[in-house]
Amino acid sequence: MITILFVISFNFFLIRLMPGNPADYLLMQLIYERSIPVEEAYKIVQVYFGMNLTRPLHEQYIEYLTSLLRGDLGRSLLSLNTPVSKIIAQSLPWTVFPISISVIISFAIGVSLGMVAAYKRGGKFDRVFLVIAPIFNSIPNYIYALIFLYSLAVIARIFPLYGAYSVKPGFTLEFISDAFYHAALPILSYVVASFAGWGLAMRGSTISVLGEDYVTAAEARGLPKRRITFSYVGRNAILPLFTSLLISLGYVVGGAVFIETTFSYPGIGYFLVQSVYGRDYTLMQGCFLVLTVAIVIANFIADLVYSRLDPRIKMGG
Amino acid sequence: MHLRIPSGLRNILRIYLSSSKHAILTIYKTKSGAFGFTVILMFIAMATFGPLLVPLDTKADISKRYLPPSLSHPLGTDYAGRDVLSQVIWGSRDVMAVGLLAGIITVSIGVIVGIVSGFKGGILDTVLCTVMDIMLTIPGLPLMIVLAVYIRAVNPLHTALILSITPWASLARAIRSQVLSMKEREFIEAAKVLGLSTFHIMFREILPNLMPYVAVNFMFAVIGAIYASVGLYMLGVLPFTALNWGVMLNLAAHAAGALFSLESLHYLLAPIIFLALLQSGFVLFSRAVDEVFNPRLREY
Repeated sequence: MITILFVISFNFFLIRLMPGNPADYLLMQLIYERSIPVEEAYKIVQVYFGMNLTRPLHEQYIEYLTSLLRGDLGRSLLSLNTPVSKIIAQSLPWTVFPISISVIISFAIGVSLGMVAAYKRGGKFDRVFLVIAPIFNSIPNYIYALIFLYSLAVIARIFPLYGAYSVKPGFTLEFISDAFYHAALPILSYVVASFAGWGLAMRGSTISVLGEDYVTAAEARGLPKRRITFSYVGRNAILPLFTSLLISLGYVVGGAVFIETTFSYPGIGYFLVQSVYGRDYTLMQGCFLVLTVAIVIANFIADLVYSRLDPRIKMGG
Repeated sequence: MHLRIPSGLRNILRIYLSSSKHAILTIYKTKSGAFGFTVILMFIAMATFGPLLVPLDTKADISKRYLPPSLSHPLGTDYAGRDVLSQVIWGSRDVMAVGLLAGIITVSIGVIVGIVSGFKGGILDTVLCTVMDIMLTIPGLPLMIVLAVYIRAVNPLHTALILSITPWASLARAIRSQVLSMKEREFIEAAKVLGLSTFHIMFREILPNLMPYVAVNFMFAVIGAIYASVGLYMLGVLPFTALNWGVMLNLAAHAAGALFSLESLHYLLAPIIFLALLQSGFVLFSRAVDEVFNPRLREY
């Protein structure tokens, strides 16, 4: 909650208080360059930024807050008169859809590889894994995106170069398969960039769980190996990874900025970068705010889930 | 003039140097650590001396457009017929400068905030923790992008400052929890009984014990900063005031359209390969360092 308030205040500060800030700039531009009457210019600025510049600062701040609470993020400076909230509402699914799928895939691949490596630690698979995984993990995701775009879309022409869909949106099989077809390369880039990190984390976590007394006890009791692997080791080793999942969310969203821009994929990160190119301050700040709110909400949900998964952790602690 | 280092500082430096010498020897025994260390040294040498040896090719000659790698142009030429290798070498200077500066800034803020917050406690701790929480939840890259729009980054220091805006928080949080547990140990109690100043305890007693951890995190910070800086240059969000690999990637991928022709493959690949090599070097080296100081990670 306090993060959201901070980001709102930070946005307000940038829009309103920075020297040469966009709100003043737009006002001056309207009055001097387009010779619009002063009072009308103030009204236009209020429509765009959601604040009345004639009032004292603290009232402007409260006004800005209440208009945000009503879901009014102002209007885009470039795509004239389109509400920012409309652009964001259209782009949000295109960020959430590939990211959630790729997080699930990379988590699953990473966790299984990590467990295998931990079980066979010191073996051939483990030694290869320990060299390759850090390298995979260290290469930036936009590099993968560029390589995939170049090799699979430009040269081999297997996948589309840009966009999220090419048929009419709707709940048809055709549209859904088309969406997956367009999302394939972005998803592939996310997965290749992040599965190794999960693998390494899972390997470490599994090794430490394998040393626990309850695993030795389970083995001594003669429980079937499968049961020990999945119910005793696996479940306990995954737990700490959920915490890193929270921390990584912010990172993944940051990666979306690169990957969506590389594939011209109309998610929220793409619009953030486009708004920077066009100096579309209202859209830019709106994207930033929505991304932050999304992460705060995701954190909150994950906290709830985590305390369910691990009874040792109680909410509010 | 003779440079005088205060004896206290000299002692600290000596301890760090001797222990780091020992550490480097241990790291060098592992293959991946040795590889990482060599790669990093090579890149530091390239960034420092490379620009002195190889002049930056700025002469545009359209007849030499996209020449394949040859003896006179080991990495070929770009869309305007300029030598790619010289660009890679000059670009490494900015990449390394931004990365190292951002690493230093991130680690300094993280360490100071973490130690002060953990050791002092009270209201100060609550305030600092709130700031850390905020910085941990805000998506870092989007924040950097927004900042880069308002703050014109014209030199590596500006870029490094923008890139350090959120990463310090996770380090500060980790250091704080380590300080909290260290506070109860005997040697800190002893230092308190001796009446040593708080400053002395925080930075002469606690900090040296955290140094291995700080060293590893310094490298993580550098990796993150290189990732972010090259990426932001590639997006074209940071102004092209320096020749960064990200600028080359941007030109190759978006502006010059190199992405859409086969003959330009070397121009696109050159910064990619160097970046991948540098980042893997840092990651392998930091993992080796981590293993040396953190025996729990060592192989069973």
